[in-house]
Amino acid sequence: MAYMETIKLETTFEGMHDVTQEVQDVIRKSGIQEGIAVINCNHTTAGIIITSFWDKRGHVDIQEELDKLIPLRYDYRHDFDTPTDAAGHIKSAICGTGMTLIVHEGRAMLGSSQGILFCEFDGPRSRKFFVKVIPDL
Amino acid sequence: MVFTKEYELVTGRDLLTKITSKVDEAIKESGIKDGIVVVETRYSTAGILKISRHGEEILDDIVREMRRIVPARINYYHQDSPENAAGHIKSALYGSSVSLILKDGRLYCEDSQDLYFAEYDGPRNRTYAVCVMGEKA
Amino acid sequence: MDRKSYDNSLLRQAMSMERYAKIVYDAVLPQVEKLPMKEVWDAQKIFISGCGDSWLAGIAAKAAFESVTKIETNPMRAIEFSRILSNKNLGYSPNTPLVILISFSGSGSRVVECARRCNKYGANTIAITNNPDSLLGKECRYCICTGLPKGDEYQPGLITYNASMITLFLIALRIGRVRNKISYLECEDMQKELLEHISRCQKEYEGFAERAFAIAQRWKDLKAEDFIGDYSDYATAYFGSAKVIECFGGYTTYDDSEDWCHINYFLSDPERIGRVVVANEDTPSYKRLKETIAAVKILQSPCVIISDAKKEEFPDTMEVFSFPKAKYFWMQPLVQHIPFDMIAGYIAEIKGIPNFRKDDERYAAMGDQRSGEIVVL
Repeated sequence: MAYMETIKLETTFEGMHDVTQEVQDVIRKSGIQEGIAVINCNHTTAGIIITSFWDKRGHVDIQEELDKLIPLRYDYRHDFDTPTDAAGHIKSAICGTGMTLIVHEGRAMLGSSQGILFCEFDGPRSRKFFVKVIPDL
Repeated sequence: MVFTKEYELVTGRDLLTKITSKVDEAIKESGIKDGIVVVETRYSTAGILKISRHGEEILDDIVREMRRIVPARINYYHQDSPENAAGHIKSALYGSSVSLILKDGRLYCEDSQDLYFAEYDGPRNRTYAVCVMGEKA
Repeated sequence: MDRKSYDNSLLRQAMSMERYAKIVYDAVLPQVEKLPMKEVWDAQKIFISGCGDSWLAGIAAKAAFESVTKIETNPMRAIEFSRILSNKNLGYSPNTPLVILISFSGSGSRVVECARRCNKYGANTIAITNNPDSLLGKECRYCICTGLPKGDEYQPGLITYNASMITLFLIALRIGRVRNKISYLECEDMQKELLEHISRCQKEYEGFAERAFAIAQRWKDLKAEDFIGDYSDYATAYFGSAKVIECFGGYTTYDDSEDWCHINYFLSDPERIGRVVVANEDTPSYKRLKETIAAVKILQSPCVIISDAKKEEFPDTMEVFSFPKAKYFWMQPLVQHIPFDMIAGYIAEIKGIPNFRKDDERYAAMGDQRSGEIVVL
């Protein structure tokens, strides 16, 4: 039986929120030992990535480099909302809003430095993402 | 001898205004045949550019590329307005004066290039000066 | 009767408007220029709130905000904003809406309540106050101090009303400039025009005072004063109506041109009701205002018209206060309340009634009830 849970979080402006533990907890609760876990958020100005979780300054670097590539210009064609929103759409599209993980022995198979980060490209906002764990056939 | 003349103009948004004829006029008025011509604006969100004469579309490309390299971001430290903050940088990077060689009563670049007043935060009322230094024939 | 012996606070304030406008302008401009570009951009909607004259300043500035910033702007009564407006309107996206809260003292309970509600749901707040150390000043994310000298004469409100408007206009210009809705050149011209329009109009006030005094003598025994104005001029109409009550406790009503034709038109004893119509040529409803004026003529009510149009535009039985045209139409509310401020001030003085009914101790009790309990919903 597959298992799904919704995880809610309150983000900060351009915040990088480590959600590794939350994802591992959902997998543990599912009781599934072998299979896959799918993560996705339903937002267009946020992303979910894997990166080293050790140094928080590295997370700031990620946001800063994204800002260089996709500056908070006010003259994007998409002008429905705000410059942060318009840039956020692009950052979200590039980073992706979710991923698939391999579940092995009841845990997501992540490297010792790998963490799952929820990236806020606008914020502060109330956000959520979904984790679905699917057992092997 | 040294001859200096100031000109006024009204600019538009992102407008490149051709000023070659004014520079020629100042040179003629000075009576100087051989020497150096300096064209300068003292505004920090405007500039003087020397641009190829090969078609109007080059001007559009230049404006677009200048905006791409220095986007009108909302997160500059200088918080006047996005156009103004970017304008200061464009002016510093792209230059606010040019020096030209005058030989036998002709500008060395006369056949291939035109001079332009570049506006980075317009429309505004602007001035620029042409200084001719050298010897009368 | 000698006009000089009927000097009063509103008249004195009107006569010193130019001087105070400069003080406020110089104090506010550098503060407004510090509003961060990101937050200016994040504002998808603007609310302006306050109590009494402060709220009216919001209505007076609606046209300015909408024409300069192109952002939907809603002046809202403090009680509606703090207790009735749905939470959905607050903080639905980062730093939006932008909520501008106005209070001269900064201590009014209802505006503080508005600020706390914004903080709870994530809206951005700017306080306009003369006291940055006040509760309101501390509760809001940004505080713009109007910089009026302490201890001067500000009651009944006139200079404070103007200070709120000037500050709002300067905020609107900052937003318009950051969002590139107006160019540097336009922004500079509008800023300059703010003070110049006030100065141009100031030259008319000596003549206005003469006429206001004559009208006050004719109008002092009327039953009521009825004010009519549309869009941002509605604030001018409402403000005049407020001065009737504050100055001499008179009976008064106010409405826009359309609804006036449906309701107030039917008030009895029309020849004993003074009517004041604000009718500027650039107002989109100018034609409707002229139809309303024609109706007032049929009723034979004494009528004062405040306008930037020529006197000949209106029936010759009516008293017209002609203002110089404002280069930007939205600046007119800054000055057009002046004629009736003068009339109200003179009527109170002629009748010997102190402002805010200070001769009757029953009215003093309101001092305590003015604030009330703070409730954050």
